[in-house]
Amino acid sequence: MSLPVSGGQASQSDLAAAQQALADRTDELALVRAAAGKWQGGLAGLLAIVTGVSAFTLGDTIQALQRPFGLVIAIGVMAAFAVAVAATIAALRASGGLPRLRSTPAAGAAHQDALTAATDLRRAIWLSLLALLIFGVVAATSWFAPRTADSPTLARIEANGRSLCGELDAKTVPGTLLITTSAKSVEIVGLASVRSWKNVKQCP
Amino acid sequence: VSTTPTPNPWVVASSDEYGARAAVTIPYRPEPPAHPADLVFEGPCPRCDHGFVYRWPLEVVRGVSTITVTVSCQCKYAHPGRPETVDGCGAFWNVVVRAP
Repeated sequence: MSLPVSGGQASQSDLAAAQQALADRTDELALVRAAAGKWQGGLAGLLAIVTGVSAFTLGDTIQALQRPFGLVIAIGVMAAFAVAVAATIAALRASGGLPRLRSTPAAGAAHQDALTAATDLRRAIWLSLLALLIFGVVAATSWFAPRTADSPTLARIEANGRSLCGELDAKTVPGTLLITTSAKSVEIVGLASVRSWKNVKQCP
Repeated sequence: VSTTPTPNPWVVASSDEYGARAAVTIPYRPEPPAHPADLVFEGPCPRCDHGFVYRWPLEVVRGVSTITVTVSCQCKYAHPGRPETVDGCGAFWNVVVRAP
């Protein structure tokens, strides 16, 4: 405990300013909570749009990309989801606080709660921006990363008493098949002579 | 005939005398001590002598050694004419305190 250095008369404007400062302190927790509630709604909507679109479209993209790009993007998506969840939790905590039991009223507890809520709100905003940044990098990477080449169609064909196995070429003369065998010989077979056809994963 | 003295009526007023008396009779403490958010003044009102507690919200101001605080009586005594929404006898004053 200390005694003031000095004292004197105060003006009406001093009193009005003091009353305003006390009112501000009384209202600050409610103001921060209200602001956090609005931010929470906005952040949740933004994150839902971005994560929803990414979740539904990135799956096929990841499958089509060459390694390690697909793996990097998958990890990036998961990291962005984790950051987005952390941002949402921080925003929820800022707007609603955490349940707490007190045996006695703590002096200045509302002010401490307001400071904590403000910190949580700032954290939620930064985490949301970080999640969006990660999503942006992931999306850009998925656009420009090299894709896996389409696998050739291999088939085993019985025609003209011969068994042929090889890669089929679509750019062939109508009514014929062009087959490149594993021995790199090119065979042209009329469709009318084909007795059996079976797609295979590899040729002997 | 009642011998109880008539309490001071509620009057919003300030004077150098209130401030000077408060400076020697009303101590203050920072709360919480480690990271103060408030200055708490506790003592007798220089006008009505009723005990009261006044909590002043601190603001972070760098580079100052003293702070001027406007304190108003917050006693719970029912001073005649006092509005229901406020406490105290109406007296207020300034004190200069060392920055925590």
